Amino acid sequence: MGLRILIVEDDAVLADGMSSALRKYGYVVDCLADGAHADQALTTEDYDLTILDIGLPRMDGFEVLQRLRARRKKMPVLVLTARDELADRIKGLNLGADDYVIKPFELTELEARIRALIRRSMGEASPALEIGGLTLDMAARRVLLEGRTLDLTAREFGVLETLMSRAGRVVSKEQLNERLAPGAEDLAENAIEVYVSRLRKKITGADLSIRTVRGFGYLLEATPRA
Amino acid sequence: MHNPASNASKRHTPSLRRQLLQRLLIPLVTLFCFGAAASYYIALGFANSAYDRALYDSARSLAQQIKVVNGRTVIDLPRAALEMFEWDDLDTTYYRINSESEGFVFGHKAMPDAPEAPRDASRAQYYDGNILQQQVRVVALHLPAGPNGAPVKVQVAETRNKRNQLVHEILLTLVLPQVMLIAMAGVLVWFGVTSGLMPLALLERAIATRTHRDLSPLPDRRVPAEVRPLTRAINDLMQRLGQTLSVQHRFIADAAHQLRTPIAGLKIQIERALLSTDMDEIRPALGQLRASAERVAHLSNQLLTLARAEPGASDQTRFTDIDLNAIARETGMQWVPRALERNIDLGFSASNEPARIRGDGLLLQELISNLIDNAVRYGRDGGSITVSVAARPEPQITIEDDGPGIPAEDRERVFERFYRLPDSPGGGSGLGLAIVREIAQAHGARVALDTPETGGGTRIRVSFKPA
Repeated sequence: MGLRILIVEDDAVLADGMSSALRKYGYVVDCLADGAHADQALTTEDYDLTILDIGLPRMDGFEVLQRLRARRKKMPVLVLTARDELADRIKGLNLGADDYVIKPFELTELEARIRALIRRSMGEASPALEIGGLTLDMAARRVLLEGRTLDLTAREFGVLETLMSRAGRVVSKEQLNERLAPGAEDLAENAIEVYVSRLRKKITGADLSIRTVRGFGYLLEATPRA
Repeated sequence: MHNPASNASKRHTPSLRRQLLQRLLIPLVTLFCFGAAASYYIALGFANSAYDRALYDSARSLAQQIKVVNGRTVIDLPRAALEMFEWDDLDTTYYRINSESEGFVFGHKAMPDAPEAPRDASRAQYYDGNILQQQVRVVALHLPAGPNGAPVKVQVAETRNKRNQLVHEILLTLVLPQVMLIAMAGVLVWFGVTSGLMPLALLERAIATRTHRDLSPLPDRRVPAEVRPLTRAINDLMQRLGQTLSVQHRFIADAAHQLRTPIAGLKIQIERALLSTDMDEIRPALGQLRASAERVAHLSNQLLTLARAEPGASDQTRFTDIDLNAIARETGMQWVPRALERNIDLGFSASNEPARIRGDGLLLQELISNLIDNAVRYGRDGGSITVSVAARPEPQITIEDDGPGIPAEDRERVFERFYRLPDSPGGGSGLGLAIVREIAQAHGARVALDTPETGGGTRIRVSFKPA
């Protein structure tokens, strides 16, 4: 049986789009269009996650959230909002929202956030990352390339783990520094560059590359096999 | 619900009329009181000196009638004369004669004595006293040697009716005009303020009766010189308001038009998809739908940002200390994947020292995003974009690309809302640089657009005031 998600959204088109897409992803989805009904459903039913709009009829999202948390429910809540004011975000998070998405949003982004929230709430241990034939096992701290274990130092592993967990996005040298030596003095000027160049050699053969982004840092991306 | 602050301010709302009356009448009345008191004493002095003389004469003539008969001091006055002496139509007169050797000789025994011994016995002594619970004025004559050789004291007392009447008459003639003067001043202030404020009341009616759309200047004929600066300031405000409003109206019309275009696209594509049952025909429509929806989303985001960056909407109290390096790096990083899609080399160059300014972090991110967005959108495939920060001579951020550039004649117009270069590729809202300029203005920063030294492309530099 799939994971149960409650969508509370008063815009019928948006609610229908989200629920049918999430059903395709294998979730069991209920939809409600007003705050009072949502409050009732959240009291009686058990969901794995709630997607909650803020501007709702009869009882607004903040209040639904407040009442939910007052009942000491730990279920993750993803807030949808059209207001991207910082104050609202903070307010939402203080009330116990676990994450927020600003309308309009991409379906893929919504699904990724849902997956991350559910994984976090179920206490799933850090999983393995797999990109371009390279598998990074966070628990075992091993990297496999086509079944063969790569011989990486702890710092090289740290760099690769950071880059792979943010694949497709830029990771700055500062972020890598913080990951390798948290709170400590900065590593030597070119230390990061040295780790990255060694890593590049060691992962030769995988279908991914570590790009140097001028002035910003590094970006790991899958490269299509030629 | 009562707001204590507004209550307090209501209580303290100054009334011009009350203020003027207070300022005029309080000193006037005070002065009047002092004046009246002074007048009273002066009038009393006059009355006393006028009637004291008569009293003295009476005492003198009485003294002349003192004789010694059979060794006793007596007064030789016929009864009728005495009565005449005692009575006039207003006052009662009392007298007493004392001889030092014989004591009380004649007259009214209960005559009050002088409060103090005479300084100069040869001169008459005047003082106030009471007889039969009536106030009296007394004159005492000291005769050093009476007819029998012993000193004699002659006292004549007179009730104060005449004197008081005189005092009242004098006071009345002095004070009454003053009272009338004060009353008139009050009335004049009261009506003077009303008529003086008449132009303001007319102005108020003129403003109150117009519609919110009527921003034509207020007539300032017949407005007094003191009020003219006010009407001029109001008219100035009206004019600026009018300009802002017409910009807003045009903006809303433009925005609606800009939104209608992609929405029209959405509708057409939806209808096209609904007409078809073949998935292969529906797919391209869906792709177009997504592109149109993205344009709507982008445009609405831009409109929102613009609204937030507008002067008055942005709030200086939200400003914090910001290092341009940090914010440029964080914002720029997010654009790298988009740049890579077009194979553009997006790079960053930080300043050696921190470039600190005071600003609104969210707005600055929007500013930088819009500049990079423009460079990526209109740059050339495989080109290069550099975001750089400098701390000197002033904190500045520069975004430089090697794209087709912006013709010199369009460099001012590209900052206008919804202005797009002719033949520019689609997808842009035409608001990006307008947003950049609004946010820069909210930070007191300057925006300059030129061509990089390398000769091609666009360079936009935003120069801030140091923190």
